[in-house]
Amino acid sequence: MASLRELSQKEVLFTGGHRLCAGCPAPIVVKQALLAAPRAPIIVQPTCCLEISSAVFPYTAWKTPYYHNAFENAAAVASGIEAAVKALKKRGKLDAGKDYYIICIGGDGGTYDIGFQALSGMLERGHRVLYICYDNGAYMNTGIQRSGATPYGAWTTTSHVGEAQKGKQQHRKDLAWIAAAHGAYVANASLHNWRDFMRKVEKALNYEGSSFINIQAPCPRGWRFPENMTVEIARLGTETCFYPLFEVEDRGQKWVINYTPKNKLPITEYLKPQGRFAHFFQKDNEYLIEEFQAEVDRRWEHLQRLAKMSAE
Amino acid sequence: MSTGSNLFAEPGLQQITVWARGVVMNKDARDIVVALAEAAAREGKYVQAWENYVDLPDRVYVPVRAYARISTDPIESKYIYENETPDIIILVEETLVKGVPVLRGLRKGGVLVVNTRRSPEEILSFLGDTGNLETLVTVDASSLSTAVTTLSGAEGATDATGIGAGIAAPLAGAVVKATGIVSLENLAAVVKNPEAMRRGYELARVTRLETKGAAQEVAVSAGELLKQLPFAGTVPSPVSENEGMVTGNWRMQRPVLDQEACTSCDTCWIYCPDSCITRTDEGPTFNLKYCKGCGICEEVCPSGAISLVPELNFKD
Repeated sequence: MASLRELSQKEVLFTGGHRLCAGCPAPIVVKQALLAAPRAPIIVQPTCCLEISSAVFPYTAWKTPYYHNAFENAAAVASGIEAAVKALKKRGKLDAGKDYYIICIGGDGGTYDIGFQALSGMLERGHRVLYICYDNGAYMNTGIQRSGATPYGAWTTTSHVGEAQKGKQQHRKDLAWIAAAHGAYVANASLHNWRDFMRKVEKALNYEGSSFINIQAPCPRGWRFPENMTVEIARLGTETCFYPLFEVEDRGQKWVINYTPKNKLPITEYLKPQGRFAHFFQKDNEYLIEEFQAEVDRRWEHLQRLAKMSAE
Repeated sequence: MSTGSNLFAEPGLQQITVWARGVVMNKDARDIVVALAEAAAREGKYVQAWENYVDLPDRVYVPVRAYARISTDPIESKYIYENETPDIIILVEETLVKGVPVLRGLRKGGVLVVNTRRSPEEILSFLGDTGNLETLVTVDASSLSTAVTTLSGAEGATDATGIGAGIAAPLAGAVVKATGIVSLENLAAVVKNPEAMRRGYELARVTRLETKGAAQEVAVSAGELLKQLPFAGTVPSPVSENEGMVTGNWRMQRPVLDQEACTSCDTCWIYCPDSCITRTDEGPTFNLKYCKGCGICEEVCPSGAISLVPELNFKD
């Protein structure tokens, strides 16, 4: 992996001039992913904040080929592009010796929920596409509605906090695990650790088959924290093991934890700076913190068991 | 009612346009128009209040608009969703005087209300040609209350925080002082924080200007923008940056580098969401044409070499 000094000499293929929020994590994810690619990849996007803000017709911030699709079918279109590249290579219309990289980038709404069947199909068929989900844990673009990725207890505009309920009633879906069950190369990453994320992107792009990277993307607008704290909140997500960094190879057989905190922070460190969890710290709501912590511990221990088993 | 040649003129109509920053202040922008409209309704006026759909979904710091119309007669232009020729313009945040064409379309005798602790002279120095502006009102509303950061009431969600609990109330009070568009009593009956509203009324500093009698123009509307759009087609990649979406006027605070302290580690560069940082031999430089002033560079800098300075401290 190149150093920052070397990387900063490279052209960034996602430019300034997009309508994403001040402090938005999505362009940070995009920049890091594009820097890791050996050359300009073909970008495919379902509808999401990133799409709607970076490719406002008739302008674009992307210096790459770019396709926008409906929520449902981004992974299906990416599969089609990969098949087309293969066919064109066979007919001699594209250079057979050249690698064409295809990256599909979606938010968690378009990935966990709406686009899930297309993603599952793509992973199962094994198209050589990297799907990156920038996971901000709700439908942020449409006004912060809960998604399958929204954590337990979080406030959203469709998981209210009041007498009858305290935020979202369910725990979040663990999509990386579901993707791993397809036998794809799967990784969990976080934008604060650019080195780890970029290594995973590089590996995924050179992988003979489908790959899926879920990357933690803290959203100032929906999570309710100051715009300058995006990177710090991501770091806390990983230091508390809420968002562990791991990868899965060998058709779901080999689980590797890429980062184990020396001192696993209590989940309150992650919850406290975020307005969406403000009610966790109100009177009589301590059970929300306990339940949240217990789930983080359950998943972290499970992950450690899998990693241990793979190592044996 | 005959108004000469213009059949569509509505002489009894006053248009109010409020500018604010997306997400962090859009609730206050909405509260100002709703409070003024509701107060006017209590006086038997015909009213409308709404947010500019073109500005939505609002993003953190993006300039957004909210509108009100108050009329002595039924409003006939009710299906035009933008105020093309406002009479009163309110800026919820002071930096909007820089780089945002807030005065465009302002009618003769126009009023501008700015939430600022700076002097009227300083605010005027950023406005340039003030055209039809006749009254400038400055009021330090932020010292009287705090902006309510909530999506409550936005995008179809229920509004649980009430109207005018934040800086909307003192700003609406300042509007009343300069224009008398509604009575203070009716406004007090509508807003959640009437005390801050009254203080805003008292503290507002009204400066009368010599109107320059500029030609009447129309604030850029969605209809005009639509005419400029090609019907369909492919979009070329930007040569350097995306000229179609210049975001420098989102910025309220400017990053400033302390060259001595900078170690050229490039940490700010890898995390800048707007690709605004370029490495040079003198350390990182900031592309202010696109920098939104999010402050991530300052936050991640390991040597404390970057500080944020209010944008209005700079003339350029």
